[in-house]
Amino acid sequence: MEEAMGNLFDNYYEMAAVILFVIGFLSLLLQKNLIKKIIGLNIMDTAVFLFLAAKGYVAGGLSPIIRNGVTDAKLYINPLPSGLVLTGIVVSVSVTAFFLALTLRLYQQYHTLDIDGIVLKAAQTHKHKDCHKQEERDE
Amino acid sequence: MNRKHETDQEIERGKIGAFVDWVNADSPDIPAEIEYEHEEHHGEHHEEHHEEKTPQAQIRQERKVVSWMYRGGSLVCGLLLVAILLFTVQALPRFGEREVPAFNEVSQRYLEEGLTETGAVNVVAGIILDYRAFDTLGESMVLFTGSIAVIFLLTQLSKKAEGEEDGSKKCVESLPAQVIIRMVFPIVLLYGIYVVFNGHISPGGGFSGGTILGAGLILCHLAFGEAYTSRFVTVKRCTGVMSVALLTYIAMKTYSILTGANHIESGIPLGTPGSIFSSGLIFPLNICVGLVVACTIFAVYSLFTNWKAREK
Amino acid sequence: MNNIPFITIILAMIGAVVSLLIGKRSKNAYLLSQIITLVIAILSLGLVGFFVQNGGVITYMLGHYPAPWGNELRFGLLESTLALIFSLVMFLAILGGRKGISEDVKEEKQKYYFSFMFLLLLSMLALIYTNDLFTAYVFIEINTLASCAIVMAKESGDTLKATIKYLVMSLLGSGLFLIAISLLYSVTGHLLIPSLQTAVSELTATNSYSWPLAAAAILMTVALGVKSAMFPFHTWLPDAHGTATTASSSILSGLVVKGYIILMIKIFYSIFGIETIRDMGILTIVFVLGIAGMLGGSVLAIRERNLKRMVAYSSVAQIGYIYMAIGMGTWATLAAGLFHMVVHAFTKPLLFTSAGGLIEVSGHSKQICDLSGAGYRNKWAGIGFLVGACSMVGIPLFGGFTSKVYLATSSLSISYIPIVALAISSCLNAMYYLPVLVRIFSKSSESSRKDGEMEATGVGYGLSITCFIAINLALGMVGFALMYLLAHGVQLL
Repeated sequence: MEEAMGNLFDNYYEMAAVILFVIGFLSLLLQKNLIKKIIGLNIMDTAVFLFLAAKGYVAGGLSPIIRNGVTDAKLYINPLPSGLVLTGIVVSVSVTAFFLALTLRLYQQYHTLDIDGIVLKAAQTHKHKDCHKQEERDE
Repeated sequence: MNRKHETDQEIERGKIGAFVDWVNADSPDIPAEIEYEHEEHHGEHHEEHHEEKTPQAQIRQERKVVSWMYRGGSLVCGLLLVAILLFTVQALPRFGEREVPAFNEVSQRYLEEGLTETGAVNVVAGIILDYRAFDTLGESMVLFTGSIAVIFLLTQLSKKAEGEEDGSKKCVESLPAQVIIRMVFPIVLLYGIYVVFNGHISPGGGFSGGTILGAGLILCHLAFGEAYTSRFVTVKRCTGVMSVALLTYIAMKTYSILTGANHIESGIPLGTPGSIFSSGLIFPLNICVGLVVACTIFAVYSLFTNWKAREK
Repeated sequence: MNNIPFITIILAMIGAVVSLLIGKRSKNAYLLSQIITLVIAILSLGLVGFFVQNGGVITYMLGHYPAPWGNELRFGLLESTLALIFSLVMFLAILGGRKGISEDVKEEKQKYYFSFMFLLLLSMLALIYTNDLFTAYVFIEINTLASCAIVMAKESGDTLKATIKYLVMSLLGSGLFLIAISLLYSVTGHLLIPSLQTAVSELTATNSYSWPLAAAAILMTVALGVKSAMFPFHTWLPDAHGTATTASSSILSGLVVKGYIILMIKIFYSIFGIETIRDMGILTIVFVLGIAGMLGGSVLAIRERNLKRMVAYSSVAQIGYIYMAIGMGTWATLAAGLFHMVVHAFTKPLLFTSAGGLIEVSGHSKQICDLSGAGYRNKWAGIGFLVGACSMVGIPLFGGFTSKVYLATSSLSISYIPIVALAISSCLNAMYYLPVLVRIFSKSSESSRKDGEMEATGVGYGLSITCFIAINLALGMVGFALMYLLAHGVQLL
């Protein structure tokens, strides 16, 4: 157990990353406010990038830009996670933009950012229809 | 429902305050309980006609129960997730060590052969634009998807909406800002172009440079407003440039992948590593990516700012 | 021949961009989408022919660098068959849903809609063919964005709400998938599936890093489960599939969720190895959730009064069948599950397209009670719905029957539970499809209000329904041919 704790604190970047990940995950899941959901999404994605960047780091390594033509792998950090993070960031940006645009449209439609409020308001408009149906059925 | 009048107050309180309010939305404009009451009224109204209060009350009750189950369930899931992940993290290889599984022959070859194989001094640029180019092609398509989805959602088709715009030119209209941005704007653009062009020999590349270019355009838009920027860049033009750049990108990558897969020499000179015109296709690819990113960022921004949540 | 998969992906990519450029008139974008989808289908057919003759698998180097350094595609009989089916369904769904698209999506915005269709097609082709986990992640994201976009294309309040729900769930899935990839990468150092396979088998042999491996496997299963509407995570599906425009619903239920299932199969069989997954207990969970989905989805469908939502809940049940088959974890059940997937991929779009037609001639009301006599007002839709429902219930001669037979026979040697579940679920299916059939083929007393509205459905609609029906009957009667392809294909995973 102690060893496990020791390992955990050795990997403190990763530990922070997974805690942030879960914070973002839960915000995305539980926050009622759409903007806060988006913030949660970004925390979640950033946490994964922190995780990847931490996994790519090598103590004392240089950034993976070849200096003076020295191509000794021992000098540099692992370049692959950096590439993955770059890809991930772009994906995250696109998703965030889409989510924000959707939020704007929903705000225009329902004049609220609260997801429960949106559901309720949508249900209200439906209720009229349903009653309409009910009438027909009764006839 | 005092939300309707709020726009006037928003302007008084300043935009940041309004944004905070909007985000907090406290929470919706109508507090939850009132909302429920509101609904009850509806329920009663119908009750007079149809006598079906009980099902509605049931639905409300159900929704409450479901919502609590949902919250409780997700909280449990979250705790479980954090436990699993923390337990996993302690079992992972140590942070910062060289002898980890991730630092294997793959990464070594990227570092050791990357310079001779791709001609790019920036190994990361070599990876994303040459070794793993297909990923990056997909990534550009993600950006493209996101931007056309935003354009789809926020393009207002009615001509009236554009006409109304005259009243509210969305710019700061402050002289100091305009003077400073007039001076800074070319520098920002130049810096963005520099980062794009040097993507393969220094940190940076199409994605970061494109962001800087986009940010420069946004600055310009902030200071001088839509009327000014629309003279040289509009959403429509952005889409056009983006499509053309993307097509060029696809064409170049198709060539390189098809030749590579069929074991044909691509015949593109790599040049001397370190000079601008080196590393084969990476240089033009960076330019295409930069254009796509800059156009996306500016198009998304200008759509967001021009969007007016029309009353009713 | 081995360039075909890459060429099909690139064709779809080019189509996505070009349809924006030429799409000033929506007709151009529509024609472009139809032509390119058909070309992709024909090319895939050629590839299937090639593999039937020659067998084997091909790994295709994307670029100048061999496997662990560059990206790679890998394809054989299974992959090419699936690609053929996906592009064919896409073609027919757009053909049949064309009218709905032009009604629900604004003329000026239709070019974007067709562009999203291309993006969906390309992402699913890439998911089928890819041999690299990170590539899969990138294309999952394209798939997510594009599928959310085609849900919201109708731009009504309902669809926007459904899209938010769908988007949030999908993003949770994506986040879990990404962190699972990161975990896997940090203990193996690979992203390429064959390299991962060797690395994972070495690790399991030496029993090192067993916990991170298990965590990665669990997280990936959950992530893909959320995205493919595995039972307890299905909550987004009825909203998204039930409110979108007809073509979107067809494609979402027929194809999009299937792409994720295929990726999950790849992860189970090609990365971890099915025995490892079984040891981790994941297979049992998938099996149980599959059965829960079969029953739960059907029960929820019975309660539903809205036609499209009912059909959508039926998808939850059908996905349950597939997961049940995967959860048993033998080659035979896997092939049967894939067969059921194909049948569902052809039947559900048929049902949605017909439902769209029925709803259209009933004053655009989705309530089942308003559909009286709709089967006479739009005959194509009526017949289509009849065939689709028969297939889903499992009447002999239709595709659904054959797939249920395969599921039952393949699971005979394992346990009796699947057979019982199949029987109960079929009865439940009949319980919700039959009332609808009775309703749409009963002469309504008040049909005067929209009488004579024999909507000119157009050649495309009729053609699409006819093709779907023909394929369904073909699957019912000569399904063994497809089963042959799939059973041989899965062996090469």
